[in-house]
Amino acid sequence: MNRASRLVSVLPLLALAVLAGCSFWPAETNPYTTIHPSTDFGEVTQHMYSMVAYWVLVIAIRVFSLLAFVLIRFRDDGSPGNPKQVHGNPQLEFAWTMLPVAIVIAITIPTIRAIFQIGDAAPQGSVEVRVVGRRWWWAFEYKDGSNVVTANELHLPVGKPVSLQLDSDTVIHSFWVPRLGGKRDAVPGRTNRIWFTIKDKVEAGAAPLEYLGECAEYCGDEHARMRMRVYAHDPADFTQWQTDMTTPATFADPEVQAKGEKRFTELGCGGCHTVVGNSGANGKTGPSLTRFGQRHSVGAGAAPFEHDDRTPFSEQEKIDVLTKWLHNPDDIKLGTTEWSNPGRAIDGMNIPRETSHFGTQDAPSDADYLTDEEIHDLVAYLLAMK
Amino acid sequence: MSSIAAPHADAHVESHGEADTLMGWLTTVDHKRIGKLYLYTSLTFFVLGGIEALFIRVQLMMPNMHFVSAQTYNELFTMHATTMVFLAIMPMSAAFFNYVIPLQIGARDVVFPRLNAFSYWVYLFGGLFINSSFFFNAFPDGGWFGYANLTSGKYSPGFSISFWAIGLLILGVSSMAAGVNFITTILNMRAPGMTMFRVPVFTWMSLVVQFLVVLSFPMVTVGLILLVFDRNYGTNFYVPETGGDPLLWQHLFWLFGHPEVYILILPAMGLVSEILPTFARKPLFGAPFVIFSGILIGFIGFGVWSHHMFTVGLGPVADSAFASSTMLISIPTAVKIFNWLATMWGGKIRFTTANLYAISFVAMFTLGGLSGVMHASPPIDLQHQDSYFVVAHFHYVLVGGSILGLFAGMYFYWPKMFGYCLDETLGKIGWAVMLFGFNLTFFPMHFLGVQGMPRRYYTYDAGVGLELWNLVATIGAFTLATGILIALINFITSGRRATQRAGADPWDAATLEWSIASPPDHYNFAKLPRVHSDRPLWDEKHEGGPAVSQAKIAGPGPHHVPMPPPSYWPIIAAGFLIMIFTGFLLGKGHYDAGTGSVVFDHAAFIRQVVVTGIGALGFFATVLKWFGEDDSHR
Repeated sequence: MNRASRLVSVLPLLALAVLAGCSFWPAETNPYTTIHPSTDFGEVTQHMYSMVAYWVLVIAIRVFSLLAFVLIRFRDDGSPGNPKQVHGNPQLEFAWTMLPVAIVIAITIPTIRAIFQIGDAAPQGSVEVRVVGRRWWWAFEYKDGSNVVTANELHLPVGKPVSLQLDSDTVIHSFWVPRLGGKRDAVPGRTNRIWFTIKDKVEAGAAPLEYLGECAEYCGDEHARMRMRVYAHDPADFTQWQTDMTTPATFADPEVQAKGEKRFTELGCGGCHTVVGNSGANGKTGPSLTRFGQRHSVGAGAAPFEHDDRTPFSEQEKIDVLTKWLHNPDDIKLGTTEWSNPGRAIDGMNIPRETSHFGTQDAPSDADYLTDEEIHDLVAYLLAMK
Repeated sequence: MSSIAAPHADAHVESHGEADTLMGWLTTVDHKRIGKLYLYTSLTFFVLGGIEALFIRVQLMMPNMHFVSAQTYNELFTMHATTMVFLAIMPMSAAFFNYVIPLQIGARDVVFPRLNAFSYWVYLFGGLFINSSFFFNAFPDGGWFGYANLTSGKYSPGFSISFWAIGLLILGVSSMAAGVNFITTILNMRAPGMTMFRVPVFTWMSLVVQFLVVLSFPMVTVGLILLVFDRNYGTNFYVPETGGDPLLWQHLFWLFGHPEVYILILPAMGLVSEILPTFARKPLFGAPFVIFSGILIGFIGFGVWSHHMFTVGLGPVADSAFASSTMLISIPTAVKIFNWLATMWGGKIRFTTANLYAISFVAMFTLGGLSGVMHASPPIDLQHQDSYFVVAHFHYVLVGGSILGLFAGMYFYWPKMFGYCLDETLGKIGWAVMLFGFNLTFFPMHFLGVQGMPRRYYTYDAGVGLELWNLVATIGAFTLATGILIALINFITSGRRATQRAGADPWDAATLEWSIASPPDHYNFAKLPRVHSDRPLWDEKHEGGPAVSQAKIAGPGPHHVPMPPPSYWPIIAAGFLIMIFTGFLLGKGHYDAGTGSVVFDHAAFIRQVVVTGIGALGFFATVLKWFGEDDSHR
């Protein structure tokens, strides 16, 4: 028992080593990791996690060691007679009731402190963004006077407090960017808030930091592909980005712009999508496509513009995937159009442009799809808006 | 399933058992037969839910798989959970309530034998009702928690959610009826001398469970009725556009849903509290502590529901309160684990298959409980909620806890139920494969959760660190399935291979159920025993205590044991009950995109009134016949 107890006493150190094993899962290869926070909010959750995980590992190791000891020491050795019939020991039982009481108190007090720390009001001067959960994508509306509206990619400054107002106009979603801290639900009919300051550093003029996010509350068919990305800029770059988003994009090739804007209006895209600078595109039902050329995926992460090893697509590969998307988005993300799910995708995309079938179960025919030429013009237009 | 012929009843006892025919089983009111029916049915649903789980794991084996569609995947995880919770684990526990409780308390049956049969038939028909949706292309897809407003007429216009909601209402009737029955039985039918302090721990835990059922099911029933009203008649309980509140559903559901967790685990805790002492040849250490812990868990279990809702924004005060109450519940749970360890301390532990399952229960449940403490802390939960960490946690509690405990119970009580022991060699192989497969499946899910993988995702991206552990979990799932398959083969074939009868007391156990024949006669106890301690049989065998074994009770036996006659009214009543609820299914309104709400559908309403009306008339007529049954010849 002596050697065993010595073994048990070094085990908490092993437990610490396991915790330090966080380095097995670095954020570079695990972009959704919960244990490498980049914000003050995330540090609070991570601190609690480390503390409780430590207790849990210590207790687990001790209980398992005790269990192993009991099973080996008190196995039936075939000797005659019954063991001593012990019915209980109130003092002992009282003692081992007090042990979890102490641990629970030790965990509960910092827990409550952390809850109130997270629940505090956001500081004055925070960058306010309204986040709206849609089926199945995210709308971001900046409430800091810039009037920027964008979708699925949230741009934020580092080092400044950010306050997100979460709501939904469909079903319940949950906004979760693990490296920015915990999740919070977007519930229709109420406004939830989280706020944080991104602590990571980024140089002025350098590429923004990237954090991946996802929807964490089951919201129907394509819940799994309601992703988002967060880009953290140096504050000056962030201001520049906001200015870009409210001014029309400049096209290298005016013909691409002219053709694209014409198609956009003609085909009715502008009824649902907004493009700043395109007077025929002011719709609010679908995601804003302003400066779509900067985006990293289509369909809220359903078709990322990057390979499986996360190296970015070439321009041609981007054209290919966007072409496929515009031909029939349901091939990539089921439930995007009303065709793939009659009656369900109420705010679904209206790509098969013949609306005579709307609300019916008839499958679209070839004539209902966009032509190759139309798709070509739209793809060139969308990708050129940088 | 074959079994060795029942031994001859005592010569001087006359009581005709029920006929071993189809009609005999359909009209049975014998708690032992009903227990077996629960066992067979729940095992069948357990296999069905397991197959659904395997489909899920194949889909998640590799990133971007298209083994099933998003829609099918959503149906699979919904029905996997619904099946496992309501159709497998709860009724598997009910199999033990039925079979064991009357035997443990020295009773000849439950208080309301016909109501007991009714509970079973309602459960069977309710399970078939929910699953029949598959053939109408309306397999439920809203999650077992069915969060509003995804379940509204707008977002789920088909019949799938109606099948689910009404199916759960039906199953609630079954559970409530059984709950009332067992509370009454345990409180009123105990053998002479069996004070509440002498009631065996399994029966005690069952009593707590029945109170949880009777108090918590009404809440989900209310929630479900409001949901059906929203979907059928266009009411606005959960629809935010018209002033309803989707969070109302979450409160009603979790007010039921958390006690439900204890409904699932306490029976297994009770079984383990019988098995560990038996095979350590010692009494349960601090039995009153274990019992009071169970009661305390039951009480506090009603005050923790919002820990399922830490992310919905209830505010810091509510979050702190529910975090504290949740932390509190870990104390009685920890006490139980210490008591089980102390029970084995100083004992003579025999490693039978039943005991191996029971010991693994203690180990696996400890892990599940400890990971539960982690997300009891809201700041941690904000990261863990709806991630695979939670999936790992509750599978450690429900598979590592409930299922291992129930399998321990099966190996333990099988000789009592069927008269022969299950094969120990095959049993141990099955146990080892199952335990290994279980850990291989669910332990990596902790890592997946920490790496940020959310639940209910039908697919995930490559290159974000999720490939390895998903593949391992899938391999584990098939290993676990193999272990369960070995156990099932053992259940089916042991009877054929058994060479000897088990005898009344194969494990040298302590309580009354082991003092009578295996399987017991129709009437259980020819003469009711007089109980003087909490371990009457042990005291008789080892401490020179008064006799409780049937063979040793002095005096002339009775010449006639009155037993309730078989009845076909329970199954007919259950059939009409299903008809009442089918009317509600047919009464679904339709969502109108123009007005943006569910429109009251007159034709549907008339269909509903007709079907529900006929069902209700039939039900009440049946109940009148049932009430009028003459038992005077008992």
